[in-house]
Amino acid sequence: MAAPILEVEDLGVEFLTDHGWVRVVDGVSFSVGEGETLGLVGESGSGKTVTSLSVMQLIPVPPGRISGGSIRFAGRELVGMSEPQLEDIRGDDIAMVFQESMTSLNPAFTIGEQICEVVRRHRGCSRREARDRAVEVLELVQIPDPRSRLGAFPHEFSGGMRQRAAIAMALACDPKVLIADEPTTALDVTVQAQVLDLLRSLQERFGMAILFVTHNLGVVADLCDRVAVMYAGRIVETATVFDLFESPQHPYTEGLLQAMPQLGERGKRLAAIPGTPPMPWQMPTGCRFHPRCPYAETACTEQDIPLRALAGDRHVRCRRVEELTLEGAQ
Amino acid sequence: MLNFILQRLLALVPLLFIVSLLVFSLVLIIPGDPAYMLAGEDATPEEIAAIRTDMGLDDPALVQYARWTAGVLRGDLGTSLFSDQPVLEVLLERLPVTISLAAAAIVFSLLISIPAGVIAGTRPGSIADRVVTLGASTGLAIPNFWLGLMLILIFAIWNGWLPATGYVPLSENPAAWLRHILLPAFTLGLSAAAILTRQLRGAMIDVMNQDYIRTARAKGLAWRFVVLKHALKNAAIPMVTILGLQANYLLGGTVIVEQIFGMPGLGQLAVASVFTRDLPMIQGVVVMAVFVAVFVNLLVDISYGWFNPKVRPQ
Repeated sequence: MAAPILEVEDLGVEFLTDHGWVRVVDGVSFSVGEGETLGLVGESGSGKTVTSLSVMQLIPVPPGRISGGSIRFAGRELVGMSEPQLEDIRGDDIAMVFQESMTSLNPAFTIGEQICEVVRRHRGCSRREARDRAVEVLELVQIPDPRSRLGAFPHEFSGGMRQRAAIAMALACDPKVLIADEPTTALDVTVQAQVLDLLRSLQERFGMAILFVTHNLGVVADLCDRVAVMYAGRIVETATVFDLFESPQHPYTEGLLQAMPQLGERGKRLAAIPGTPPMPWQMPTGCRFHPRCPYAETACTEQDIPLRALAGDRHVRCRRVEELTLEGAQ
Repeated sequence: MLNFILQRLLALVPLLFIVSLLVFSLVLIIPGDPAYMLAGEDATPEEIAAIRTDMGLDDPALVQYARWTAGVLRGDLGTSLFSDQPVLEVLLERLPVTISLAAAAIVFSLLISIPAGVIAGTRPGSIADRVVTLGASTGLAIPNFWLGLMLILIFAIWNGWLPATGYVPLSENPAAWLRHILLPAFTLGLSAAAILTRQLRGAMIDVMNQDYIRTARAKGLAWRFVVLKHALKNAAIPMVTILGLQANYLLGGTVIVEQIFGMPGLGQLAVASVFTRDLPMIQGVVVMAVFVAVFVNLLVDISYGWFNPKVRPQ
């Protein structure tokens, strides 16, 4: 792995709910190297979006709070950093693309204005230079006739174009880390592929690191170098994409892989993971996955399972890892 | 945009036609005969009949309507039955008083409601929010005739800080204009301020939870800047609608406020004309009020396009 540009260590995030302070992200650690793409995978509610927002220090406070751990960007600690310093980093060094381009762009301002604003904020340049930069990045994301599109409003763009514009906005200041939170989930499949291609080619060109948050393992296989699988607020497995698909070490990862539709298997039922993820205020004791795990034993329910390092820079949170041979993707 | 405005103006034609019918039918509906009023207590039936013929009151209603409408279209609203002055002249003399009162009231209500609504709406549940919400409820509950009298009592009679009544044109002496307009504008604008505050607070709470606010923060923009630029422009859309409605209520409210503060505006003229059954003058006031209301609505429609690009004509 290249030198880490983003390091998250033992991150804990809590939200105040009707059940009191509830820990939705618990002891999450991962790092992203320069130019590397890390996939953060998990079901809805696994804490992956909260984790990615925490990196930007953008979880809503209240009701949320970062209860512990450390997030370092290029060696600088972000947890506890002053708001003005964070603002200097957001949008400049670390940029973010969100899931819903319809709602994540401001309907009352033109695309051009929304791109120019981030350029002017971080580059302190003139209106004219900012416009030139906006045209440049819109061109990068393959928006046709970008200069005339500066004056368009988000509702005048199609879904795919809006997401391209959002990516352009994120790239406007040449970020070193791009956090993409399910950027293709709301798009048509064909448009998804285009946006993924675009992200990949932009990364090859500019070498930024990408933290790619998704529930879609197919997208992970397509784009990522390494994967961290999250379940119930914790990381249960990290590995390179190849290793993870070839030989998953955690039963949850196996379940996710089995649940992926395969080509040429018509008529066969998809293997769903039985049960539902636990609510954060009623986490199971021991391994959090044990109520849904086909391999669970009594010992799995008794005490917390630590994340263990395996050979080849892999980590897994399962006490039966040596005994089990799990099935990878076909 | 010009096209849009022209369309709007064209749509006004049927509206104004209906309004003209209603305004004219005042003559037929209002109890009492203007000829009696004009002729005085001791007039003989012959004298009254002569006045009726003279005023054209014996003609069929349709003829009277046509005559009146033709006059209005030429800018001739008739002559006051009492002062013998042309109605339009009197109206134009008094219009600036009412306009400056209503405009000052709107400015005042915006000066209160924008900061109050933004502060409350960005920190729902905080002490500041509770104070603002309580203040807005109080502002809504206070009737303006009572408020006006209390303000006169406190600011004019007890302390003598501001004049109790009267009006000085803005063009004559801006400082004196301001001193005279402060209390009436406050009286007139308070309920509008309360309503707008509530509206903006609700809209702000809603907008602050939108994804694009998070996007703006993710770009490194300061919280204050995000609130005042990204959130406020979106939250202003419902507020502009309410503002348009309130502007029309305010015009109605001037009738009471001008009475309390002795301001020679349209509202006072309306009351005086009703008491003297000065029909042409009443009609003139109503026509003028309709024009102002229609104009305000046009402004609201146009401003929508600026706040909300989705409603702009393609």
